[in-house]
Amino acid sequence: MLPPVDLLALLGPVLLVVVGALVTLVTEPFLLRKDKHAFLPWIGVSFLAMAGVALHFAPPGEFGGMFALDAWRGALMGALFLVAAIGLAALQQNLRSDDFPGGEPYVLILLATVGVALMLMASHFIALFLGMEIASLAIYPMVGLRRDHKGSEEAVLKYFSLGAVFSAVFLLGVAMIYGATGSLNFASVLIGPRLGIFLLGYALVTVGLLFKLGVVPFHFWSPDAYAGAPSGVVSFMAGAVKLGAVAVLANLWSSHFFGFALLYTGQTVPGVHYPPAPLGVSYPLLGVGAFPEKILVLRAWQFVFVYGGLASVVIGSLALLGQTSIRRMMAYSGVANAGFMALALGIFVKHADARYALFYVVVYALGTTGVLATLSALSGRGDLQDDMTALAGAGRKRPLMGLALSILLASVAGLPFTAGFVAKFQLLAALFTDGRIGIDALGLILPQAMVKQAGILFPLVPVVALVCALVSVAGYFRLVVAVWSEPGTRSKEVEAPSLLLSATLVLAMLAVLALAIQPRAIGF
Amino acid sequence: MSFLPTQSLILAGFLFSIGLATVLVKRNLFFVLMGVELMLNAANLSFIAWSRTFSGPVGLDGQVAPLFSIAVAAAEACVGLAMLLSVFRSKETLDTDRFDRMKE
Amino acid sequence: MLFWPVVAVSLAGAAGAVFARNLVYAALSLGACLTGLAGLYLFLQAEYIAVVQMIVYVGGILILILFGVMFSRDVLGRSTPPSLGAKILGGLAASAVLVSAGRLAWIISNLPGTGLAATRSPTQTWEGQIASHSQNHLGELLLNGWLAPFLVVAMLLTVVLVAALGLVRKDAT
Repeated sequence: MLPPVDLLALLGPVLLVVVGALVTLVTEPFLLRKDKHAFLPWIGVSFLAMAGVALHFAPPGEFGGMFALDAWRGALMGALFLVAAIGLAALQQNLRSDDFPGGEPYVLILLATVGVALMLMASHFIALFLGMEIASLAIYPMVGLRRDHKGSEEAVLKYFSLGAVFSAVFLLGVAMIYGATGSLNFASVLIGPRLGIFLLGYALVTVGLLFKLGVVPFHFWSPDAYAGAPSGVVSFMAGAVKLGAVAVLANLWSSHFFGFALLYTGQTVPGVHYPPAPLGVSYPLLGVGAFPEKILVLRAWQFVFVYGGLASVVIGSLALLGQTSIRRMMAYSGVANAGFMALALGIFVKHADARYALFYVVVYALGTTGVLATLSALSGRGDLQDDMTALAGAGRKRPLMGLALSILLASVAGLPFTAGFVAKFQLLAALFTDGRIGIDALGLILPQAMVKQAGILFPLVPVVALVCALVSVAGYFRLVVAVWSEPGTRSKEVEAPSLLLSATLVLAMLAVLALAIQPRAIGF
Repeated sequence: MSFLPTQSLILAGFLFSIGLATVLVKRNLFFVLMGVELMLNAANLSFIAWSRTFSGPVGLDGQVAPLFSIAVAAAEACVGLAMLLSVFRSKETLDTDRFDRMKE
Repeated sequence: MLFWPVVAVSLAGAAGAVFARNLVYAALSLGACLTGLAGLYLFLQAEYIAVVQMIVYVGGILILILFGVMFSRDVLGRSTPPSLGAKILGGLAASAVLVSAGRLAWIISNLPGTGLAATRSPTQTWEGQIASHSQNHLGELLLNGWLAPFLVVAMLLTVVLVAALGLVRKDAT
């Protein structure tokens, strides 16, 4: 359990980002059109840097069972601030080449960062809901930034209507959980016989969050939304939204089910600290012990995460092979990686240890954000050169962007010497040693005898995931080859990347390589 | 009237399914927006209905949560309508089926 | 016994909002539904929420929607008739939700101490449990336990302001 701390100390880093957004907002009208794009992102980045420093000194603790900060939440938030800085730089590149008239996208990206940061810290359903809505309401207008482009309107309308529906589904789930537990805190205890209500609520809440994560079957929005949005915005939302969603799912598991499992089975697992009934506490994100295993409901959610995750890995990895648009390719890559995160959460359900999922999402967010940020520099005005043939030779003209693209894409693919390899290796190793996880989950839909039979398929889940990860490398490799190949006839001049973009991408590369050498640098 | 929570929860279920059906079937974006409002109202109603089944301060949480959800609903409607107007200005239609050029 | 008429108004309003062909009528019947819900909140002894519902939903959001409808000149809600696939999908999804709502109702009514089971035993009523500490304590709660989300709502409003301004900005090129 985390100690109570002062609200201002807890929310300090987030408030600094809010102040950054307000300063940007107030400065914007006083600048000329071309100065806006030169100057405004620097305000945002400097406030993000200050927030990072403040985060380093922020005390771990919680306020009123609403928001909490601990080692892992801090690590995720640090990654979020870096993702936001890269996103700001990429957006600057986009808006500068489009000669965009306003500066409000910079404000929106900072406010979306605030929303995701609140999601990371939340340990209360309404606080979480507010954070989610702040993030989504700031991202919707950014998706539709280029009104004159075909596809932009479809992207924003599809994303908005689906997002609104799923947030209503989430809220109904919260209402049901409140009905079943009498509390809106994550760590709450089921009331006597209201199990059915609780399960209904939990299913609805999980659906709402899986939509944010983009796991099959809730992935259908992402290719259209990604392909219609400016590459800088895609770069930010691909990383930040997944950071928030994974953190929330891990947090729900680590705090919610303890009390629930305790009351439902009436038995405690030795060595596990269970929350006192019923209210007002927050727990570390990493989880604090093992779950009682034989509970049907745990198995049901394990089933969802393991097989939904596996389906995402397969569908995403295969679909990304055939894409020519880089943004669509990264959307399917996001689906595949969301599948890996769901598998990691499936392991978490069994072991109450979220570190695979949390490490994976940090690494993935840095990688995918960086890749899409280089795209904003390479694909030119209006992202019109966003396909394999048009990008041919772009890396030779802008070596730094080409290098960043190659290294970060290698990390997303999970090639050795990058943090992505460590993340995938940890996860697959855990899946192999725990290969029965898929079989256990099958117990939900098959009778016990058949589950024993299915034991022959022992390592099926990790092997399929591994094969898909290897197959998807071919798709990423095509892009890297295209970027470094001889410039084709269709390739045009590539404009210079801004100083901010180069600097933040170098930081991302360093982070990805450093995390490969010392994975325990964060969170542990 | 001690059976109110039950009836209200059933009504909330009906409202939620009506809203969901609207969103799925109607192609006009105003209907989508209204369907979402219905769904959010169903959630509010279930909060309040559940709050009546608890005694003491626990029951009050269920009365505070709808305040926040109403604020969020207003925010969503505001952004949604701004979006609709800006789309309408360039397209002169709000029919979602006419935005389907991107399917591949 | 005003309870059942109020429920009927809410349901009829919701149905009207869906089935009306004219967008203005649809928005107006949504208003009837929201008003009915406000009345229902009175029955559930959530007076403050009922007032907020009337002011914010009926007085704000509904007017906003009506304004949008009028402004877009798409008053008749021209839309391609839903395809058979969409109709089937919608019907299936709605009936799935209805079935789970029915199941939910069944679960609730069998709970000891809540719902219909409670109505059969005259000793257990909900009357007066909430009313004794309702409205005054709501404000106290907002500024104590719920202080942090209350602050976050301010951030939400900032986001909405900037987002709406950015969306309706005139010069798009």
